[in-house]
Amino acid sequence: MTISKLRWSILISSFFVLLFGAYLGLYFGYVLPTFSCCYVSSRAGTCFLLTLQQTIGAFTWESIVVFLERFTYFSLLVIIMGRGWCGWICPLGFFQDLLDLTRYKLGIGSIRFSKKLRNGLLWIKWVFLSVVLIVPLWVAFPFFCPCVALNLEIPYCQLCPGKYILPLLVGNPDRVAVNFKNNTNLVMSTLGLTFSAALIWGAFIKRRFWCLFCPMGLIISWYRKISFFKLRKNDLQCTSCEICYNTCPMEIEEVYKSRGREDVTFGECNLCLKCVENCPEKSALEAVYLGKTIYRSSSINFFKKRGIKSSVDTCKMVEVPLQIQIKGQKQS
Amino acid sequence: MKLFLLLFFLPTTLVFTSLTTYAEKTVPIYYWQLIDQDRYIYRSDMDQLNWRDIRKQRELSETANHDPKFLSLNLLDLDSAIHGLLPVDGNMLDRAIALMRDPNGEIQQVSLSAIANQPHFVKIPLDDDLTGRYLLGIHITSGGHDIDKDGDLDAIHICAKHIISHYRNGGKVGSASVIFFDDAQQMPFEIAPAIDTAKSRYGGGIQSTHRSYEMIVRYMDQPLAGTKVTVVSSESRWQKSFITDSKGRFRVMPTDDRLIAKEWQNYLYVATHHDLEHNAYYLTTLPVMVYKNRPEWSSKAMGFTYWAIIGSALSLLMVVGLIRRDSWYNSRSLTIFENHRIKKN
Amino acid sequence: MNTIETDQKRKELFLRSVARHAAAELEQLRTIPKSSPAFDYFYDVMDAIFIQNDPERILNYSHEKKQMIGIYCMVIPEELIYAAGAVPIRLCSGSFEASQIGEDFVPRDGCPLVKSAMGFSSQSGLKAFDMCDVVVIPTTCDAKRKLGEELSLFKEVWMVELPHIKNADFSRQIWVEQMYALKARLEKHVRTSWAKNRITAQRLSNAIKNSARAQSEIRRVMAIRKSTQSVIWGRQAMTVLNSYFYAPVTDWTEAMVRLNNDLSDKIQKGETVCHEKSPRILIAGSPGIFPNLKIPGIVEEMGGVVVNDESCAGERYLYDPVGNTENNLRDQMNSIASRYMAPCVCPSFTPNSDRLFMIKKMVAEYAVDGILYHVLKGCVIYDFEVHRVEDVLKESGQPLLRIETDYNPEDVEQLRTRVEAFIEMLKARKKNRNSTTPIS
Repeated sequence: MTISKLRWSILISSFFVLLFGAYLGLYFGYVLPTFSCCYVSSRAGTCFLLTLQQTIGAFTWESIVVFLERFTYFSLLVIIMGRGWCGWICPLGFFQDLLDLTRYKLGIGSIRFSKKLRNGLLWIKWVFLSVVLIVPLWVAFPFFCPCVALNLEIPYCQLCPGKYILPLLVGNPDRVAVNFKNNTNLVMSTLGLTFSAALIWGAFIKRRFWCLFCPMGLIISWYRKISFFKLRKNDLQCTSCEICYNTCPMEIEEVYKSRGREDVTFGECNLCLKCVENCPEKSALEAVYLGKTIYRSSSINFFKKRGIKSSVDTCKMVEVPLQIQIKGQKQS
Repeated sequence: MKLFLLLFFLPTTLVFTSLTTYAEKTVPIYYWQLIDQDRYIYRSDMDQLNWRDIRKQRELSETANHDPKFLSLNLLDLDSAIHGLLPVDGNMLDRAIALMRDPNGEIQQVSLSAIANQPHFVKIPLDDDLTGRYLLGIHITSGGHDIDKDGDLDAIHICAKHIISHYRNGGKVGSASVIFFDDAQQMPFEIAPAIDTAKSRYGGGIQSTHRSYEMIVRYMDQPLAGTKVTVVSSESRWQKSFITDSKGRFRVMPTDDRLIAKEWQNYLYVATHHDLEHNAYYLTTLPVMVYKNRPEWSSKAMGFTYWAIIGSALSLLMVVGLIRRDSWYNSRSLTIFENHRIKKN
Repeated sequence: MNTIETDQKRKELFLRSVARHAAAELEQLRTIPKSSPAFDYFYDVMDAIFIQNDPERILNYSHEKKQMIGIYCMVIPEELIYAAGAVPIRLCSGSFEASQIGEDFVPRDGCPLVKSAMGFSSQSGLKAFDMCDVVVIPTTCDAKRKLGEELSLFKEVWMVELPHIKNADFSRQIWVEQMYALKARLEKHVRTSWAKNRITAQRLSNAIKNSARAQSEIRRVMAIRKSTQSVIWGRQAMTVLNSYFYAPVTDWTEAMVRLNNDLSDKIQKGETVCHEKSPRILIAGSPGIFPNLKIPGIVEEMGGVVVNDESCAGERYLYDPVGNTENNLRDQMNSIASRYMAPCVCPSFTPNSDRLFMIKKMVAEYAVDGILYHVLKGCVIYDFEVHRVEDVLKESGQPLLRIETDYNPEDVEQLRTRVEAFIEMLKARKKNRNSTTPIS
C-alpha cells in the first residue's frame, strides 16, 4: 500500500472516529490538537482551542489549574505526532483533501502561491492566535463594553470554519446561520461564514488552503524540534530537482533548497509525506520516528508509480554508505 | 434560619386548577424539587453590571455547578392553597426506596435525610468529582386502595423522578450517559425526554419555551402506548394533556408566560397508568425547568444565502482569473532572431 | 557557375573530412574485442548521422511529415517538442573540421563547441543540421548567447532566456513563462495537415512517459558502471549517450534495454573489459562530444577506465525525471519547467554549489580513484570551478588533473604524457592503499 493510500485511510477513519465517536462511547477529553469541533454533538473529543478560550475567558484559579493539566496532555499528544496531526488526522484537513481530489478528478489545475504572497499572508495566523489568546482576556475582565465582551464568549470558535462546516458534514445544518441576536453576534457570525466560504473555495483551487491560516497548526509547529515525527534529508542524495516543492501542498521550498541540515521539518510542514513519496532519489528524504527511518524515498518506487518497471536493483552495484558527512568529519 | 426557610419555600409552591382530570384524588402526587433553583439559572442581563460583578456572577454559577445539589420530596397540593405545603406521609415513605443513577450507569440507594423539621431530602451527587447527568428517583408503594371502585384492592406505585446535571471543571467524566433507570424492579414506570444520550451528556433537565420536545413514557422498560400524560406549569397555570403514541412518545411545546418576572418556570410532567390485570396503579412525575423565551434569532436561510452569494462571487473571480491567466501564459512570446530572412544584396 | 561548383566541392570535401574522422573513431570502437552486439544500434546512429549523412534512416520518417527542431544544451525541454509532434535534435557538436570552418565567425579564444556548431550551420552539407528549420538556443553561457545571434544569419533562432540565479523566485517565474512561450511557438510552428496541433495534456503525458523510460534505463546503466567490475569502456558509454542526441527516444530506449540486459549478464558472468586494479577515472567539466573521443580515448589507452562523465553530454543529460503528480497541463508544465532548470548544475548558474554535492556523490558511489577535469579552451565558467572541486576532493583524497584542450588532435601527445603520469600515480596510490590498509 502506498503511503498516500495509507494516509487517506487514516484520514477517513479518524474523521469518523472523531466526529461520530460518541456513538461508540469514545471520549478523549478537551485536549485534542486537531479540529474536532465542539459544535458537533456526536464528537469523541474536543479541540484544544476551546479549552484555551474557556479557561482564559474565566481566568480564575480553578480554570488555570484545569488549563495547565489539559495543556500537559495536549503537549504530550503533540510531541507524539508532531504536525502529523494536521496531515493525517484533522477532519478539516480531510475535507480540504477531498475538495482537492474533486478538483483533480474534474481535470482542473491548482493554483500556487508565490513565496512573496505566502510570506505576505503569514500574519493572518497570528491574528487568529491572538483571537484565541487575547480576546478571552477581555471576556474574563470586561473593563469596557461588557455588552460586547459577554457576547464574545468563545471568540475564535465563532470565526472558525469548523463551526460551520463540520456540523454540516455530520448532517446538521443548524450552525450555518447568521445570528441576529445583537451586533456582536451578527458581525462574528458573518465573519465566520465568510471564512468558511473562503475555506471551501480556497481548498478547491489550492491544496490545503486553510492550513496556511490555521492557529492550531501554528501552535503545533512550535513543538517541531522536540516531537517524535520528523522529516530528514540526506544532502548527498538530493539533486535539488524541485519535485518535493511541486508536490508539497504547503509549498515549502526550504526542503529542497536547504543544505547542511539533516532535520528538515519546517513549521509549515504537515508531515503528509508526499515529498518523500515523490522524491526520485534513493533515501534523499526520509520520514523518521524517534530517530528510526520508517519510510524513505526511492527511485525504483518513483518510476514504478509512473508505470515504469526499473530494474536497477538487479545489477550488482557498490553499496554506497550514506553516512558521509558534508563537513567531512567521518567517512564510513 | 427563617430566611433560609423562606427561600426554601418560595420556589416550591405549585398551584393547580382542575387536576382531577388525570388522577384520582386519593393518589398522592409526589415530586422532587431542586432547592435554590435560581442558583442554577443562566442570567442573560449581566451586561448591565460592571466587570467585578460580572466576575462574581460567573464564580457563583461556577460554584453552583460543582457544589452538591439538594432536592426535597414534595407533595402536590390539589386544592388551590397558595404557599401551602402538604405534609408528606411519613408512613408511606418509610417503605420507599430512593435511588440515584450516576453517569457511570450504576444505581445506588440514597437515604432521605432530614434538616431540622424539614424531612425527606436528598443530596446529590455522592461523588463530587463525577460529572454528567444524574437521575434521582423514588419508588413509593402502597397497597389497599380501591381506585376504580371495582371492588378489588389496587396497589399504588408512585415513581417520582428528577434529572440533575452536575458539572465540575476537570472532573471525571462518566462512562455512560443515562436518561432512564432501566430497572423495572426498582423503577417500573418512568418518563423522560427523548434525547440522544450519546450526543448529550448533561442536558435533559432544562427546556425552553417555543421549542418542541419529544418525551417517552416507559413501563417495565418498554415504551407504553396510549398513556395519558399531563403537563402543568406552576407559574402560568398552563396545563395540557397528551396521549402517547404507539411508540410511547408525545411532543410538547412549552409556552411563555409574559406576566412573570422570573427567567424560568417550573413544569411538572405527570403520567398515570392503571394495570387492570395486576390491579396496580402507577404514577410518575418529572419536574422540568423551562426557560423564558430569550431573544436569540439566527437565520439559516440568511446563512446559506450569504454562502451562495460569496460562493458565486468567488467562483466568478476564479473563472475570470483562470481565463486571464491562461490567455496571459499563451500570449508569452519567445525572442526570435530572423536575420537569415534579411536578403543580402 | 564557378562559385556553385566550388561551393559544391567545398561541401563535399568538408563532408568527407567529417566522415573520415567519425569513421576512424567508430572503427576503433567497433574493434574493441568481445564487445556486445547491442552496441551496434548506437554505432549505426553515429554512422547514419556523420558518415552516411542520412538521418532519416534512423528517424524512421521523412522530413516532410515531422519537423525537426535543433536544440542546444540540456535545458530545452524535449518533452514539449515530442508532444508538439516534432523531433528534437541536439546540435552540440564535437567535430574538429567543423570548428575550423567556424573560426571565421567565432573569436579565436572562443569555445570550440560553438565553433563547431557554427561550422556545421554555416557550411551546409550535414543533413542533421540542414534539416532543422528552427534552432532553439538557451542563454546559458556567453558563447551560446552570441551563437544565437551569429547563427541567425543562417537559420531561424529561438532564444530562450534561462535565468542564472536559480534560487530566486523571479527565476522560476521567468522560466515557466519561457516554457509557455516555447509551447505556444511550437504549436504555431509545427503544423501537420490533418490535425490542429495543440500540445494537449495527453500528448505531453505520453512524451513524459517516453522520456521517463529512457531516464530509467540511464539509471540502470549508471548502476552497472558503479560496479567494481567494469563491463563497459568509457568511450563506448560516451558514444551510447551521445547517440541520444540524434536518435528518437523510443528507439534509443529499446536499444538501451537490450544493452543493459547484456551488460548485467556480463557482470554476472564476470566478463570485465579491464582489470579490477585499473584506476577508475571520473571525467568532469566541459563536454566531450562524438567524434571528439580524445580524452576518454587517451585515458583508456593509458590503462585507466572512465567510469562516469559528469559533463552535460554524459548521464547528467538524462538523469533527472519529470515529477508531475497530476496529469493536467498546468502541473505538467510546472514539472517540466522545474526539471529542466532546478537540478541542472551547468556552471552558467550562480551559485552552483549543487554541482559540488553531485561530484561528491559520484566520487563516493563510483569508487573513483581520480578526477580528470576537462576544460575546453575558452570555457571560462568550467575553469572557474576547478579549485572548488579540488577543495571538495581534499576531504575524500582523490587527486585531480586539469586538462585544457580543444578539438585539435595535434596535442594528443602532450596529453598522453600527462595522463600517463597521472594514471601511474593513481595505480601506485591504489596499490599502497590496498597493501597498507586492509579493506574489508
